[in-house]
Amino acid sequence: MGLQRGVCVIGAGMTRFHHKIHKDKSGRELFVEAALEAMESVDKGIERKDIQALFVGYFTPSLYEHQGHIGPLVTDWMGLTPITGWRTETACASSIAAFMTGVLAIASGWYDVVMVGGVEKMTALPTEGVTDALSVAADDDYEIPAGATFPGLYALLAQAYFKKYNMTWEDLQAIPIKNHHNGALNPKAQFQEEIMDIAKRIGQREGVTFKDPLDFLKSKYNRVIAWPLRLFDCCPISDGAAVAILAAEDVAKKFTDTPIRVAGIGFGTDTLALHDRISLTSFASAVFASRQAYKMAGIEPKDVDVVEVHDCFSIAEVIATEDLGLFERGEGLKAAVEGRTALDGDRPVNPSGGLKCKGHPVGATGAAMIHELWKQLRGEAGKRQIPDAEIGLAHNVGGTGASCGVVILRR
Amino acid sequence: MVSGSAAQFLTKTFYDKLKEGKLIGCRCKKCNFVMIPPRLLCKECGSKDLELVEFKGTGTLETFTVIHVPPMRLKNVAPYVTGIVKLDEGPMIMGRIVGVDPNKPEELRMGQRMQMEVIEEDGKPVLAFKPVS
Repeated sequence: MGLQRGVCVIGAGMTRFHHKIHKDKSGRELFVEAALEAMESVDKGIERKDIQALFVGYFTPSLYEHQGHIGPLVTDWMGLTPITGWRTETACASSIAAFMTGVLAIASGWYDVVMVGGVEKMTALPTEGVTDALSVAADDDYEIPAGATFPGLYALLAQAYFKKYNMTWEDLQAIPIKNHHNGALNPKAQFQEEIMDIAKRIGQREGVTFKDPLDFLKSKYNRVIAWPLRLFDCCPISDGAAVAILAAEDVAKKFTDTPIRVAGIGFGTDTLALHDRISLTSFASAVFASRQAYKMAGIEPKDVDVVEVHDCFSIAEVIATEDLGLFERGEGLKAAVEGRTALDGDRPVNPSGGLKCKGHPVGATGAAMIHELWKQLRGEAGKRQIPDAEIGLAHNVGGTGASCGVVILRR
Repeated sequence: MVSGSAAQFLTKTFYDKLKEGKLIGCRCKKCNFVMIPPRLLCKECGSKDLELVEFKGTGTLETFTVIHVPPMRLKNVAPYVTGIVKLDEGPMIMGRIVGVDPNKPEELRMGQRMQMEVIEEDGKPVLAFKPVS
């Protein structure tokens, strides 16, 4: 089953994701910054009056900014009232849900041109406060009392994966090392530095030397967050926003000669509680969402040229590449260790640097994945460009996989 | 085994019983599926025909982690161990793992036999497990 009416991405923009530079801006202001960049990216131009609806993902505005009712807040700040607008919330997948809401609004014939995006203003709280805010994506009655945190939940998955497939934490370090390499090539990334450069910088300060990235990652300077996961296994706390503009295929040419088509969408759910899962090494929601999206797009995993996956923690990227069918079960981490997911590998994953380096203002992440695919499929990704990328896939997870949205875009 | 009306299949019942040292869930009378915690509908077949069951509280450690960066309310407890235990009756449940040194995670192993214990935090019962030596 496909969309009844074709939908295209005609523009995309994002703020840089960062933990410091947006300190003085609120969520609404970050959204406007990204929205203006998205409008400027439209090849033949777009005016505010062209936008007929606005859907925005923001996971926990009430906890970070003591602000709800984000939909009309951003239509107002964009000067777009009284157009249709509301907020979508699916934890860290909130803006892929906003994207899909926009797709449906056009495919149904309701509207022709829609703005979608996401935002999260996380640095308003100290680290423990952020840990608490994120934890509302877990099962508050049965996981939180046990002392679960998000790094902790992903550590439980990592341990299960290591045991099942006889791999180690040392193997897992291939993921952050690769993502830091990619992030260093992305001007929008929060961290634009190779791990070895960070190791040298810290080494100079502390009067120690590290012989390679792993030597640094095993040191006390990479502190344990939730054993066996350490700081560099975790995405950072970030502020930021990302926005895309969608148009019906039949009106897209008015805005650009190179629209990027929405070829497939899929969304799946699973139990919030990890202990209720059939498997601790796979997300059933991601398997469901990706199969739905592949079917709609009429393609197979091998056809995808560029992939942005939800690596909120290093192990999550491994699980994602297996759930998406890019690698066989138990082969995802081996493939990363062998360099197959690197920019020059046969299956490049997270050219943007992923959540680890690009940053993860949770409600903005899905839209930021769309922004990266938009750049890649138009050949505008600079030093991190995957040559001739024609089909791109975004995989955006909420919580520990209780939500997962997958979008396939095609040039 | 405790039978009861639908009003019993609640989170409140789970924690009321936990306070008494009992670990409860429910069994579907239609398809026999056993669940923890109790639910209003069978997770497997959707039936409302359920009965409360009490678990023995024994099982094996499926996976675990040591939390070094805790949520605000556990600031003074960290580091501590959290894990998922597969109960002998089948279903899995998350709990605090006690009776182990959080600074020596290598001494704990997956597959280890565990026994439930109830600890108290902020006046509330918390499900915990300790290794059976």
